[in-house]
Amino acid sequence: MMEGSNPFLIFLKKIYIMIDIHEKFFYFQETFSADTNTTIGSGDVAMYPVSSFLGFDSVAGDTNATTLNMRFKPLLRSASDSSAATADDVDLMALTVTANKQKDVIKAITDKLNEPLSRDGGFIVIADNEGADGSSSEYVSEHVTSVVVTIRAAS
Amino acid sequence: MKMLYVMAATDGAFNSNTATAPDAVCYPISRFKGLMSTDDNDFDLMFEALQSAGTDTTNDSVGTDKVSFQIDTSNNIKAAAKAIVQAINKFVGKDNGFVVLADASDANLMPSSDFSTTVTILVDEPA
Repeated sequence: MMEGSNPFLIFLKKIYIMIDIHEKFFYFQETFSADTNTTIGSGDVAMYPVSSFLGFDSVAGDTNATTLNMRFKPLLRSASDSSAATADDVDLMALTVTANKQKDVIKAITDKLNEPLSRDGGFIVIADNEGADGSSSEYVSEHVTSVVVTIRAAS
Repeated sequence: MKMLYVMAATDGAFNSNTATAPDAVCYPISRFKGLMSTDDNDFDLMFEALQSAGTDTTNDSVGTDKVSFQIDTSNNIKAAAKAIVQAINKFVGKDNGFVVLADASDANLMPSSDFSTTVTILVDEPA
């Protein structure tokens, strides 16, 4: 039988296409900054494709042990912009977490990352301090309590 | 591969004469960098630049193209972001990978009813 007419191979190819063409996204919303802190301001919200995710790190010198950083390829800077310092080249989502629960939070986010698309449609809220009404916060884990969004300035 | 299409002209015509503001753009999904708010009713989608090699330091955002959206409901950007993700991730069999993120010539072709048809495209200057 020719490969092109093999129903099983065609089925596998369709499955591969379905897996390959979907993308998950991480959503972050920090505390309102506009109109005396009642509405969303510039840079309060950020969303990234998972393919832009660079990784986690805890913070050296964070003696409270309550910070977990998620870093992303920058929205505004070019990856090839050699004029920017390396540390300024990435966007930073700084999560405030329960003391020493960073590992649990990383596991919770990894679970979300790998769960079937049918459960979340690819839209993963990591941290939302406000919700649309300012009082409906949402976090990926019970150990996340806040987020600060830092989008590096355009160069 | 999914392709993300945006038409910003309300008349649907492809006749802009501005080099950095075409009427329509279409990017492979791999060029999508993400979303950021600009205020409670506005947000931008960022893409790797169509024209720039990323070395034009006179531009506001080197190597980055920007598509700006407006929504009607204040502070509703999370729902708007979710609508965009749903549009991107809809079953490929429905569109063969061609995703209309926005078409200002037809309000029914916006991601949700909360979206205004005021869409602005700004592409980076060639390097």
